[in-house]
Amino acid sequence: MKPAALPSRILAVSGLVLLVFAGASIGILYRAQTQLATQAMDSLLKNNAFALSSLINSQPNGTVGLEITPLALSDYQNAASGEFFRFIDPKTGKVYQESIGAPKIECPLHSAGSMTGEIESPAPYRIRSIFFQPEVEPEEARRQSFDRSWICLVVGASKEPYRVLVFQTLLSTIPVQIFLIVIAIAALLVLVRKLTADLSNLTRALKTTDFTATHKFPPLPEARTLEVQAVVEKLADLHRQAADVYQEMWHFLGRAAHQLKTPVAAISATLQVLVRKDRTKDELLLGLADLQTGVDLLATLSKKLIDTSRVPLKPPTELESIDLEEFFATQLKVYRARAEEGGVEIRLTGSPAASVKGSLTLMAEIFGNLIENAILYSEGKGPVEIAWRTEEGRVFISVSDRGPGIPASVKANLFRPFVRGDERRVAGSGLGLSSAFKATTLLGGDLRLVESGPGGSTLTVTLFVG
Amino acid sequence: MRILLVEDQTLIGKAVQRGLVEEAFAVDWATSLTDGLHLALEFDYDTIILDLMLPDGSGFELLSELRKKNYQTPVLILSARDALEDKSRGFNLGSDDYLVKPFAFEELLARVRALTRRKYGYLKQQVEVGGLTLDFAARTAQAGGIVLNLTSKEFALLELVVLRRTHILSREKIIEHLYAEDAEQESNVIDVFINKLRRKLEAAGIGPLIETVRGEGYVVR
Repeated sequence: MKPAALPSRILAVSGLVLLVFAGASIGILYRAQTQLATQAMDSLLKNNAFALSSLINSQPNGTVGLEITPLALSDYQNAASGEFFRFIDPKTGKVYQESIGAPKIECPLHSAGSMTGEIESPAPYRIRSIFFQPEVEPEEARRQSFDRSWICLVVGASKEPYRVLVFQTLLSTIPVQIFLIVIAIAALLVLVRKLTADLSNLTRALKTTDFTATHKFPPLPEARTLEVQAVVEKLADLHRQAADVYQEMWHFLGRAAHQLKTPVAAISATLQVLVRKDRTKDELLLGLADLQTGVDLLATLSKKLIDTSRVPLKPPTELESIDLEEFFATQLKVYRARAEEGGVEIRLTGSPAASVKGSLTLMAEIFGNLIENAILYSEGKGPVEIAWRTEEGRVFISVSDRGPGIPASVKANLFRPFVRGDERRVAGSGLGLSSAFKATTLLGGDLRLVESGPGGSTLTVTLFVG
Repeated sequence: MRILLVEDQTLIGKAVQRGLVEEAFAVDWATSLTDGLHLALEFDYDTIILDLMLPDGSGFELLSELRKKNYQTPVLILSARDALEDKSRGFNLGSDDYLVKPFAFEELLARVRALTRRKYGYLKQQVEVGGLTLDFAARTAQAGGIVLNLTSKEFALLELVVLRRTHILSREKIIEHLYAEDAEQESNVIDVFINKLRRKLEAAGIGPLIETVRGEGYVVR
């Protein structure tokens, strides 16, 4: 279905409901009116039949007498209202008397009694028929004993005038109905607009948003309905989160660019000083070694920036069970050469069988960075020790070094990007721990600096038993 | 001229120090705020080159601390931070110049020299004294249209005594300005330098420019 504005849809649906109600009310009214008319007709026919039957009598000679004056007769043959009557001999079908223009309706009864019914031919009529033996008149004839004749009286009335009446009654109600519908729609219009005002305001505010152009979210309107208020609050919350992420990204970008400037500045300064004068071979070699150091720093930083960008934003959809002994055996192989270069040894100490819920990619990101950092900041004083223990469904995995410890000024922001130890001693990227922290969070775990002093540092990762 | 370089980045520090030393500056290199502050208060530097992000604090703190103590030596901030607010903050705290990394070494050199000259009240690039014309930027001394053949150390000595004209400079003071802290020198090395300089000046027809004040040191009147 094509989307339409909420007020229009509510109005359209309400209008339809109103029309159905109006139709139903007309139908009910029609039925009531028709029933009333039928009752009125039946009552009239009953009276007519009763009155007409009292005007006829039986005679001993087998004839029937009709004591009806032309004036009285006119009361029962009202052509305008379509009323009629017929006195019929049920044996012969002979018509004793009938009103002028009465339809040729045969007697529908064959024994004593009465009935009310309808016929459609030659025209719609409501009829009442009685099958009876008239009274005996006069007095002397009553005293004689004889077989009284049976008479069938059919009285009827055309339904047409009643139909016209019902129709006219219904017609007279239509202006009132239309008026009521218009009033109801107007009231609905006002009501719907009022009720959907919050939503309209919110839609308007959101439509005017051009985040790309302004980098700002619009102020959201105040809501009076609970549902819209909840949406506004959620949107405001999302706005805040998005703004934070956006700001964080720009901040990160700024800091990354700044960090890249440092080796670039170093390479540039070294190169400029190197080419200012004629150099001996030794001087050139020393200068080139410095340049290599700068390029290495730049390469490390670029690699770490790429690694950081690869850490996913969302937790993995499925976690796998990772056996720690197997995982760290691989890590040891990966980092053995690096450790030898750094003049330290990596040892697994205290490694009971345990597995964690994790993802190999994120685990490699976490422990790769922790092990690299430990090697880097050991400054040749080994060993780097990895140990774990299980407690209440959690596994605590610690990575310790024997380096000089983390400076106090750095501890508070240790897991923020580009925060690092003393650069005079070690050329770290400042991204390793922040990446490890992010990856740990994605696994629902925790990364903490447990201790750090002149004797070394220990960082502990807490993950769930898997 | 003696420079204090406060820079924690090893490569940058090394390059700047080497470049300045090759231009006959005496350079002391501090890699932390604490060391920088200590050296600045200990020795009479002609200019301080100050990085902002130091391992034990901000260069701004060092600058603020020095200016609070009415420390007059010019300070050039050399930082990768290029935001206007950083520059404003630096100048408001009393820095004399601000250079953003990466930088052209020649520009750094020119700015350091200009600051050093300004410290002694010389704004121009050239100065004339007793028939001798010193060009601080070109690092040359001329007499009668002839350029004197001076080593960079000799020019630095000449520059120092000319810039501090009328002030008697002791041998220790001259050593302090010409040699870095870690370059131990006997005070008689200055006498040797002065004598060599005097001979070159006389050969160029310049009269006795650098006077000896017995028991005190040397002065250019």
